[in-house]
Amino acid sequence: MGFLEGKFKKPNIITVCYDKLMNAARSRSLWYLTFGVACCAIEFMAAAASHYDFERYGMFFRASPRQVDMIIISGTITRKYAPVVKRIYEQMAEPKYVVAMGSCAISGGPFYDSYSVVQGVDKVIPVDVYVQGCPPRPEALYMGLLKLKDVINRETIVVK
Amino acid sequence: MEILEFKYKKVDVQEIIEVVEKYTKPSGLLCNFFIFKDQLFCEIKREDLKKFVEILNKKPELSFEYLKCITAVDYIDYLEMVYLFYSFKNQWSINVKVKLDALNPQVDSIYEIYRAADWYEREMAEMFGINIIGHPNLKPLLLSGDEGFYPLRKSFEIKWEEREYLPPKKFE
Ligand code: SF4
Repeated sequence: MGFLEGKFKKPNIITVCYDKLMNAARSRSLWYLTFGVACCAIEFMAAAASHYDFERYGMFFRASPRQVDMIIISGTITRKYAPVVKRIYEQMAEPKYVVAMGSCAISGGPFYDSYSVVQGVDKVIPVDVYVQGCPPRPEALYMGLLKLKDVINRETIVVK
Repeated sequence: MEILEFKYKKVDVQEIIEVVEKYTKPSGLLCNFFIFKDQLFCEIKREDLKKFVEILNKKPELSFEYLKCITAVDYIDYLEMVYLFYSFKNQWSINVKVKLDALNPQVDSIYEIYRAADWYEREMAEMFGINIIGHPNLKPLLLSGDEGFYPLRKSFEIKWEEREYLPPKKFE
């Protein structure tokens, strides 16, 4: 416990700000869903694997949407696939966060006026952070995830 | 270990025509052969397609057992289905073309002869609006099925100001 070591010889009480404690816990253990849609998923995998390593930020992959806090939409969402994304989002437990990764997930990207692509995942589910690029480099994704930490730290118990 | 040797055989297109005609002539099928860039094409009538394909597949001398691809073309006045077959035994390939009516395109399914035709025919049905008669499971393959347009037709225009690219309603 670092600076608190040896300060408490017997059981004691600490008073903290609830919001700060909860937000610190939440933003430091963002578990994400193993979920890759299109070519952005390759860069997402590179960011998650050992070279860049998500786990040093406390992010760990889970295979079930019921166990995760965050979903990274990494790629093109087609009209046929959109209901599945919505279903996955609804299965996640609160609090839940969405990162839209790449131009496709933001606005449809290169397939903006295609006949089968949804123009941005925010037409289907609410998005917290947008990471632009086609595909974004892992550094850009990390920037987005640090922004997501800011989003979480702004939350209070009064208003979600 | 036995090493299989692949010998490239120069394909004589006239020979394919001869053998095919040997079987089609007696059953009264009209086929119109032509050669384009060393490829053999064969135009047949829509009603004869199933019979013709059955001859290609079942006769041991031909044995076109492999369906390479099915595709379709929109020529505005008419539509055309193109079937690409290959015979491993003889190293022959043949492309079969069928003209369809532009307003009411329909063609017989060859699913019973070639199982591989299943997905190709479903794709052609949703992309061109071709009615595949006798297909057991003609639901959309790549699209969600409630678009109301056929994207690979020449008459299809992308009107992205007007069209809402929202997800389909049916699962909500
Ligand atoms: S944004 Fe670019 S890299 Fe990412 S899914 Fe779309 S096309 Fe692929």
